[in-house]
Amino acid sequence: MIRMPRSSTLSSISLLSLIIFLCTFVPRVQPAHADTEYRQAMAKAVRTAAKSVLPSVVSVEIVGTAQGPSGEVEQDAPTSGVMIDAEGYVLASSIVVRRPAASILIVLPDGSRHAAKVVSRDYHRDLVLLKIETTKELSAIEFPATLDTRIGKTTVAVGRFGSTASPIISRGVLSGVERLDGVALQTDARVSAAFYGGPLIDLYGNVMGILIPAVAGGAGSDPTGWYDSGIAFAIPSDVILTKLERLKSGTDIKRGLIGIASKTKDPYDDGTEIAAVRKRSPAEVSGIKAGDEVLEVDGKTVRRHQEIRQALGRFDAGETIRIKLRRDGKEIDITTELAETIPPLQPQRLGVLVSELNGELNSEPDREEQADKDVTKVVVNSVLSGTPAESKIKAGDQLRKLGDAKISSVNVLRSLLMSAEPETEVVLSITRGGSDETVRLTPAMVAGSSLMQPPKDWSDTEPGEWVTEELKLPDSGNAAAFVAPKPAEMQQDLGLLVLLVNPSGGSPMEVLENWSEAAKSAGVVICAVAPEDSRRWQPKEINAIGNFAAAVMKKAPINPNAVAVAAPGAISGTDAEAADSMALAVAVSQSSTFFGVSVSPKTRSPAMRVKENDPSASLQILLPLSSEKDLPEWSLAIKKAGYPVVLGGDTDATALLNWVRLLQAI
Amino acid sequence: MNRLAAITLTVLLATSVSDLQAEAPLGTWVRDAQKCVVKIYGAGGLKGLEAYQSGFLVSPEGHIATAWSYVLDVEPVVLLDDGRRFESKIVGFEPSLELAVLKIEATDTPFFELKEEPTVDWGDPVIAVSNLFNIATGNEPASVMQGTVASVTDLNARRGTFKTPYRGKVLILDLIANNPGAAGGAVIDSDGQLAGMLGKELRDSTTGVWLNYAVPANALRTTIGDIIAGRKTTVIDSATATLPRKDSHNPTALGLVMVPDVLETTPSYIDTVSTGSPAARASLRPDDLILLVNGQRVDSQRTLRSLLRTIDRRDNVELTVQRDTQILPVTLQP
Repeated sequence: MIRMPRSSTLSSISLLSLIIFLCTFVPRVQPAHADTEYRQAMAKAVRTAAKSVLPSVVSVEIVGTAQGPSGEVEQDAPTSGVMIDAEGYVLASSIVVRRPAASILIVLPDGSRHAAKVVSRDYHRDLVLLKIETTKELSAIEFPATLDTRIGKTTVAVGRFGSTASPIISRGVLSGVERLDGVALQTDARVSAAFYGGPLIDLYGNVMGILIPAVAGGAGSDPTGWYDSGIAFAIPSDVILTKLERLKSGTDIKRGLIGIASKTKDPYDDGTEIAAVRKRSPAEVSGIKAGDEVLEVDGKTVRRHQEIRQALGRFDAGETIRIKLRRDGKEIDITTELAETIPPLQPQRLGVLVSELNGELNSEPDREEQADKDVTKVVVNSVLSGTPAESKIKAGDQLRKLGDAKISSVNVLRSLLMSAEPETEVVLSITRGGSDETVRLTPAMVAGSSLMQPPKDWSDTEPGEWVTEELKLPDSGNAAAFVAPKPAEMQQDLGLLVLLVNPSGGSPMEVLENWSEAAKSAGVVICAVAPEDSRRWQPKEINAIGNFAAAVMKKAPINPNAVAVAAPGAISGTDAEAADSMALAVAVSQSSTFFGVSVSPKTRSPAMRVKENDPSASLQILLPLSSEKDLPEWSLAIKKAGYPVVLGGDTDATALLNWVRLLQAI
Repeated sequence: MNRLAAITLTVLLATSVSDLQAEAPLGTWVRDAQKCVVKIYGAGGLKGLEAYQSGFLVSPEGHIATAWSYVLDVEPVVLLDDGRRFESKIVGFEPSLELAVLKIEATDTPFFELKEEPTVDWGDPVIAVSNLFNIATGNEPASVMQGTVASVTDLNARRGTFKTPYRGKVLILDLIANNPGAAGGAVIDSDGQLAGMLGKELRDSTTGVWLNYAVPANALRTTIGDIIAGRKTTVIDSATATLPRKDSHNPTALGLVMVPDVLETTPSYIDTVSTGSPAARASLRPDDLILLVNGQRVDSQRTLRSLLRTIDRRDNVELTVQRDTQILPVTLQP
């Protein structure tokens, strides 16, 4: 509590002070310095620009959302919007519809509130079109058809804030264009929740775009995670202008999909060869084939798969684009209409462990491959028992073609099977003992199938000496430890399991004591990671977990496809806790690192955006269940996005670890 | 007094600046402002609670305005810009402004004047001077940050973990000003005048985001004057106090039967209206959604109940309800 001053102190000073306080009306000299003049002129210009759009800027309030908050920004935070015409249409950020709400209210500049209906959504650009019914005169915002997007140009974010819907502004510069796969402008204005849906303008009052909450790539599932961070995004006005009629007609807009899988595992590697074409996708319909090389997308030259992605990013479903390809040395042009959805992947497998051999082809070069300088051979190391490959394929076979598609790398073979048609026989061209043969077999579904047994040569290899060490990464506060073979041991193609420790689940070193024997005999390196905060896992730790996996992969000969993340709940008879939800979130948002995830079926589904499974970075989910009917509700959404759910039955540590290492099987 | 000399100096400096250069010479106003800002050390020091904050002089007799906080649970020690160290007395505080005034035994101190009118509007450039993170010690001058007034608005920080009783206009700042130790620091406009006092670290309850804000100087002026003059010590903010159950309104007494409150934030839909009740007289209907109570947003039934607890049962209750797409103002008369 505050200790009160004694009254004697008060009375002794009060009179004198009062006199002095009242005597301070001496006029101050205005310091008319150059920097002051500049700042004041800028303030005036910013205000003038903002005032030219403010009559069209409204506040959007959400009333009665059904769930508690998730993420730092409250889910029912008031945001902004703009009136696009005099009819009552209001464009806002789709954050206002991210949870079902009893009502969405538009607060007009005069303070009046109006209930809004959702007309349509642009899922591709995170915008929503709302409509209010009113007789009031509404001031429409103007979207220019052409934009001056010189980087460094002054920008002003404009919104409304607080219970009085007062104007709020933040000044910055244009930091970038075509961000978020080609859809958004970037600015360094300090944009917080209140600004979302408001306009980003220039100093002349031209509307450059509408601000949206967004984070890039795997930076976490909460799109508001980057508020006030010097990085904010806006959908450019010229693009909005071309979408408004469609949105007004009540048609939702979605991102356009094409359905090709990349040959290179890393999209930033050189090369645009297509490893596989998705079934019933626009790519298949328009005649794109596995092995084609993409040269141009809509007139834009592309050299890497990331550039294809960037060039396609701006297009909506239903839009037609031109693609220039190279096939067998000839250039061909194809037009294709992008689709809203592609039937989900139903990954298949043969049941083989393969590796790549590089070098000159043998005495008799394959006639079809003569033009090709790329001489990587995909060779079978072992065939797993109880799989379609058993008795059809032998160790030592070279796998050359699957149907018409050339198997030019292990990754290509994997992608082809990931996107193969279920229960359909395939023709495999192989070379066995120097002669070419064809083998017919029907691959098996990855989903649902029970666990495979590891090949004999794995269990025959002497594991040698394994040691447990602590692991510290410079940028993370997580305690971690890993158990792995000593560097001198000569094992290959080990698995890696990143095991997330529950809050208050003990130190990583202690946790690994129970796992080290099983790890050694299964040939799976285990990295146990504890949460930074001893009470909970936080979404911001997702990236750190991916970094731990990458760090451990440098320390042992781990097959990059046999990498999984799991929580203690993956073992039958263990309860679901915080680590289970976290493992699921990590796997889905770091899908290029993790090829498997195993958690308890009772896991509480984390707040995450489930991305489509990607054939070139395919993730599978292991649950310790025996029957499909015990599957948790959240697994349905996961299956729909093309992730196979594998039933492990009564899963113990050994079964889990064998599954991890066998993630490299195709 | 030496004020005359200072004025003369300023005039001389002002006239010597003529051309706009890329890095125009700064005036002395930033340094002048630093001289009025003090470092305050008091209670705290436990985990997560800093034992220091900032303040600024408001009279030549050593009166210091600062944020009212746990740091002042003991009579604090004040360090002036020149490094002089003083024991201080708390001469008054005003919880509804989060303001406290200290007094040190010093004379002829530099000080800020408090203007009657607001000196800044949204968009205006400002300088914040504070001892954030206690980076300055002894006679090191306080830290200076530049930014913009992003908005001038009402603070709506009623619910959530972080609360402030302050209900007036605030300056929302476009800079990370509200760091540990910054509370009580001075916000200066580009003419060198005091524009406001930095508030404590605060999260906006409606958006959940951290706020950087200041209480405008004109809102503090009368109270500081009264405290210095000995006319005022403490006023308890009664505007939002929760009343005893028997003295306040509640949904049942108003005739409102809400839909079952099963969720953490069940929307305030009316299920039925009791016959002959204030709600029935105001023609409220089942399925009406209550949006506002006395102008304050109702996001759930829990909020509805707690807002009604702050209203005397003899007073009218102003509701705003949504019926289909219509928004209707309704007055409930007890």
